Amino acid sequence: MTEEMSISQLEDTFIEDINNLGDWFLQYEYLIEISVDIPHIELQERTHERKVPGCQSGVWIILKYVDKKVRIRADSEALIIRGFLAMYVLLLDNRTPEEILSFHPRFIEETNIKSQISTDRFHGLQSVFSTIQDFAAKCIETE
Amino acid sequence: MTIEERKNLVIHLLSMAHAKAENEAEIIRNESDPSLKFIYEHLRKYILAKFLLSEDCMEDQLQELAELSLARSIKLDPKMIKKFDKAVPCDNVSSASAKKVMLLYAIQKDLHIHPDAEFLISQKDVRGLSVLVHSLLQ
Repeated sequence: MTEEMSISQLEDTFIEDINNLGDWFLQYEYLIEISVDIPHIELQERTHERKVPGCQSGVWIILKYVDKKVRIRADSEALIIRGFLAMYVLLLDNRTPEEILSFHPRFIEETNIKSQISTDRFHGLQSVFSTIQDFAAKCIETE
Repeated sequence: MTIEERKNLVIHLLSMAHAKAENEAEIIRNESDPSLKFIYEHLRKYILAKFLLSEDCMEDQLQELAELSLARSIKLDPKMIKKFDKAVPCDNVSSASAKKVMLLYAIQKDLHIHPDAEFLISQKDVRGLSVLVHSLLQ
């Protein structure tokens, strides 16, 4: 079922889940729970080059281009940030660069998440998405 | 398990826990002259439901309960949680401390009480918190 969904359709289900949960206590738990299945980036892989700029919490991202799809692994030392990263990974991993470039995330704007996170964290999350989109653009350029 | 199945399972678990906590909060709110023992018993059940912990959990310290809750959520040995859940430069608040604060805020909201914020945050265990709630409901 998930494989057939576009990024936007899958994002709609996240937005619906988060809005239906209503309060931040449950939303926080939801984000942490969905991050459980996202693979960790081991300490030895957490290099300076893989660190996402603009994030005060340590955030690392490993991007690869395999069989015309962008593969994404992301991790953070802060659990709630791992929850947000899980959203990006679940939405964007194994998608084509074109799909990623045409996607404009709405889950922060269309839920109350923005009011619950600091401006620094908000900008950090934007930086994560920019890093993924920049990589997708480079994948197309090198085709 | 697909993303959808995982999401649905999480939503189901959270909804069940939310309903259980709501029920305990309602029991406390509806009691006109609750004893301290009554408050402790139901507040404890409320907290365990909010933290998705089973009722046979014996821990009474709020910080420890928050850590147990996190360990359950991320499927980690509770002994490892302090090492894993690092305070970070963003706001220097560990995830367990954030959960404890969110719990205290939820208690205010769900029990319709308005304690002094500093005094509320200073509560270390369920017993102390019960005394505070009891005094506010008198």
